[in-house]
Amino acid sequence: MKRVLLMGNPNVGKSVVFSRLTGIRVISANYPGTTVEFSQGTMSVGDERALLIDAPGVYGLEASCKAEEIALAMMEQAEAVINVVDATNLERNLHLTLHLLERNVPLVVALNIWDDAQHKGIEIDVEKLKRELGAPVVPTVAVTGEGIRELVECVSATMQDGRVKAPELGGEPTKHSLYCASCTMKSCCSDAPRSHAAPRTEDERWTEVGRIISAVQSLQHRHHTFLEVIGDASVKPVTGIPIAAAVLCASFIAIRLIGEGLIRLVFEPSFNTFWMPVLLRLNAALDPNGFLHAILIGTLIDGRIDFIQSFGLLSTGFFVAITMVFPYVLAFYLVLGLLEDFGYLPRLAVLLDTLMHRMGLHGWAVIPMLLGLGCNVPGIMATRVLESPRERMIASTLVSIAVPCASLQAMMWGILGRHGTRYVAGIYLILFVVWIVLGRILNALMEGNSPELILEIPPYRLPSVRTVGYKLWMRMVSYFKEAVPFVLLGVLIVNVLNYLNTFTIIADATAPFITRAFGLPKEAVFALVLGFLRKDVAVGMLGALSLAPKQMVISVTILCMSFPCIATFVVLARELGGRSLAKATLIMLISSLGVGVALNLLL
Amino acid sequence: MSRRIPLAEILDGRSVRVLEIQGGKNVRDRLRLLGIRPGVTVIKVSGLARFGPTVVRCGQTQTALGNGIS
Repeated sequence: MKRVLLMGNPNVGKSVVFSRLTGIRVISANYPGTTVEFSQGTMSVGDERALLIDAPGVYGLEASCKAEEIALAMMEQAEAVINVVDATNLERNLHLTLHLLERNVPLVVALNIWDDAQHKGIEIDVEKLKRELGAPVVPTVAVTGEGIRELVECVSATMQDGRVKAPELGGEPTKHSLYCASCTMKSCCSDAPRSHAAPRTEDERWTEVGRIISAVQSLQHRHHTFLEVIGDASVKPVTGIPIAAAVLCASFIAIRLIGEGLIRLVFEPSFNTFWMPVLLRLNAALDPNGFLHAILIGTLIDGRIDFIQSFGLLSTGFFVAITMVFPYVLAFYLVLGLLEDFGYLPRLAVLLDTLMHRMGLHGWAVIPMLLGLGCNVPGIMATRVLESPRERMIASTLVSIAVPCASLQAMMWGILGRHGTRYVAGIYLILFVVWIVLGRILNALMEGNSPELILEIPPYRLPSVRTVGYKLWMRMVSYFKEAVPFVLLGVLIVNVLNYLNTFTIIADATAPFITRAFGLPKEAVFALVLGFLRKDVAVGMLGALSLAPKQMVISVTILCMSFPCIATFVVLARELGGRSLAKATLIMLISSLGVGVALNLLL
Repeated sequence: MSRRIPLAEILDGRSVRVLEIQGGKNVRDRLRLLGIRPGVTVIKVSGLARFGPTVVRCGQTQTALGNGIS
């Protein structure tokens, strides 16, 4: 199958174009570096199917971080490249376009975010731009789908032309009269002769960009829009810090309200109304002392099914996955999606740059941290936007140790929250302190220093309901596909072990240590071990032990810090490699032991 | 008008021409690809004095620069 590659600067909307062309939904956001690995899907080009690859964004053709290396490797093999260009930011984007043309890449230019350019008073003469570049140019608005059909037709024509032969070195840019004859869209590329320019130096390229810009683009003067005014306000320290505090507080409150509201008003009532009768019938039908009853329903508490303490697959397993955790996961990703698409996160990165530098990172590392609050897996994947292996090591270690995922937090609120908000707040405080202290220690111990922040700040954009909705939908689907099975598996394992009485043997063996060092009852050891599979199930198990609040605080903190869940561990292994993984694991064990013992002594 | 002033010491809202970029090849390359190179004019949007990054606008792009390079 022929291959088509999407290339362009970061944050120009490649992923949205990709979704439009293939019908596959991928995560997009309003900040550079959302796509860190390529996704692929098929699209129809004319009568054939072609493989479309969505590559991470690049500023130039020299790789400066891991995501860029991936994109460049893909470029060599593509039959056609769609260069997605931000029409509101033509000057910087054209630099890459020219560079691609010099490499004789068969190119179609998608002039994306065309609607915004017009609102901003930027006028671009598309016909002229086609002639200047010698490549087809199509204005598109990927979010609404405008121009996508024309884009496909141009790609089809370009693929039939194939790669243009390399020109003699050193010559003037030679214009070929290779018209794309097969293209039916007269307005699209019939008058665009294909050219290939000789390789230029960096400076020549900028001069050329400047010349093209002055030929094709005219700006209308206009006043600052409201969005730009708050955009500037949110990076200035005096106004920005209060804004950041307000945004974070509001997000937190919104997540709590939505999550808690969904649980109280929707999920708990419907669980009681619809699921409880089914369970009661099953309960009556099964032999109360049989294996199936123990696995599916669990232990009866005072002769009744208790959703938290019974710990059966269909009782507690379903209750944890759907009623306790899912509403919070939904609420978290809704709020995160809005913040992402509005474009707030890069501004937060600017404000937190100084703090992050103390930990050997720069401001942009807040992105992995924030994503990690949803699930550690995408959090660790997002460390690819960081430049050096040293930063990636520090950031991934911090995410896996001190950043609790949404599932864990939901269970924390669900079980510990009943004893009082202050205990939950205590855990957040402990983890935050650990995050900073550990970051500073790692920064001091590891060789090298942290690179400076160089970060493009996108304009604020009003989030489109469609993209935010799709993104939320995708993340929810992956929760059900990737998280829920593990929750149920965790509960299943607990029940089988419990039934076989393996628990008491191990518990007795580890009891002296667990009790003395952490002040926990001996049964807690399973919850801590089970945390390797799913943190939320582990907290559920702690809930079933009816611990004192202090013991809960200690065990949840250890649970969060000690060892990441298996999914996180796999990603960590892939991103860091064996040696660093071993180091990170050692750090986890030491720090969780230390903090656990310290908390037991202090509290 | 050709006095050399570090970016960090420029007042917010002022427009300046970049004379030179001090720093390693890596930093210069990355800035250049963002359109910030000797000779172009940038507007300083904000800076966190000696503590944090500086934000400049170059053309339509806003870029944040770490304290060390501003």
